[in-house]
Amino acid sequence: MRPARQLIEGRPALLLIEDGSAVAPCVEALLEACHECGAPVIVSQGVKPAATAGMPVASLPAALLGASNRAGGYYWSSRPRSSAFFATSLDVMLHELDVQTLLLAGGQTNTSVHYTFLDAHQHDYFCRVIEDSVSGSSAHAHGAALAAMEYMQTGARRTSAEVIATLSASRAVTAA
Amino acid sequence: MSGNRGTSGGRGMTGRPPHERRSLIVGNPVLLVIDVQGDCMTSSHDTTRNFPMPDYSERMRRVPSLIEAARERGMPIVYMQEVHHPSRTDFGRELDGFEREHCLESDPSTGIAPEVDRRPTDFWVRKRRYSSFFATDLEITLRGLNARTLLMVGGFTDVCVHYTFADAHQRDYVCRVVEDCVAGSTYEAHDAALAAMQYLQGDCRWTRDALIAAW
Repeated sequence: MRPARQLIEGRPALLLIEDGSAVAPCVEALLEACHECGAPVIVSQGVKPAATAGMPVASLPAALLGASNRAGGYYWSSRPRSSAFFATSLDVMLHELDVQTLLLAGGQTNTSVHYTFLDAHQHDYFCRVIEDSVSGSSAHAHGAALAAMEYMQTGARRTSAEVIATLSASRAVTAA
Repeated sequence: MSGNRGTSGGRGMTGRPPHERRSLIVGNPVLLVIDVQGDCMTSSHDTTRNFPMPDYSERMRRVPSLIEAARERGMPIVYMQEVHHPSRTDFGRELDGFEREHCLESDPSTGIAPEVDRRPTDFWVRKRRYSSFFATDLEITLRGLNARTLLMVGGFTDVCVHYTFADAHQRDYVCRVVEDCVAGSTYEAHDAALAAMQYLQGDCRWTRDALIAAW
């Protein structure tokens, strides 16, 4: 038996996948928990380059922007395709921030979340998907994508409550 | 020619009705043979674990005839081969999940399956991750061939095939998966991956015979 992995190994970051859909209620508490323990928050915003020519930069949903401002700021990365890594500088940003564990929140489970998880996995990050913050194009597609992520990394599927508790515990250790 | 029709997606910006089937091949096609390695056409698997699919070998045995048909039509053939260094340094996170150690370069069964008639004029690209595009020569090869349509066979449906498809989709290739020439880690995962590919490109699913009849 291989040893069980921790929920977070090394420095965590919360990667919020924004795709224009409603922000899950648990996201605000996740942002607060990240702020309190100093974990970076990165917003990956879906933007079609050809569709935005001559247009102002798309704004974030008010819920996300408001929560992020209260949580002390965030890093921003635009995303032309499903994966937050595809043709973006996200991997460089994560190296600069010395991040080893990516906590994925928001987005469509069976496209942007699944393919971002895949690329993070292939780039050797520890990956966790916060199940109650993501939703699929159908219940079946949502479940299949979560199962595929668990196939890649055992223990990938987590709830926001678990993640918040672990982030809070790491803060207590840091403070001690 | 009938074949499967897309069941997802609305009328896109192109104005193409959602269920209208595009032609099978747009621009130049390439046959991408993904991880058809070792004894995959002959070995009997442990069906009690249902891993991989019990008819894995049967499905892989359909691949050589498709390769032959592609060759007759002058279609370029690219073999992807998953490899890992014997030191295990290049596994990344791949052993943190369901998979066990596999495809060591020092293991003779890591080679392309012997039933495949691989010619020196074919292309052969090695990979160390699931996606055929991740840190490989594939994109240079496809650009050189001016490829626009990728026909995919091999395994696992839910891992290397699905993730190669997703990357090809993000790179704007027209993607086709030959569903009776791919096999997955389980039936459930195989079916879910085919549905996921269909979600990305509604007209992507073909069978070997329909494909040979149509091209």
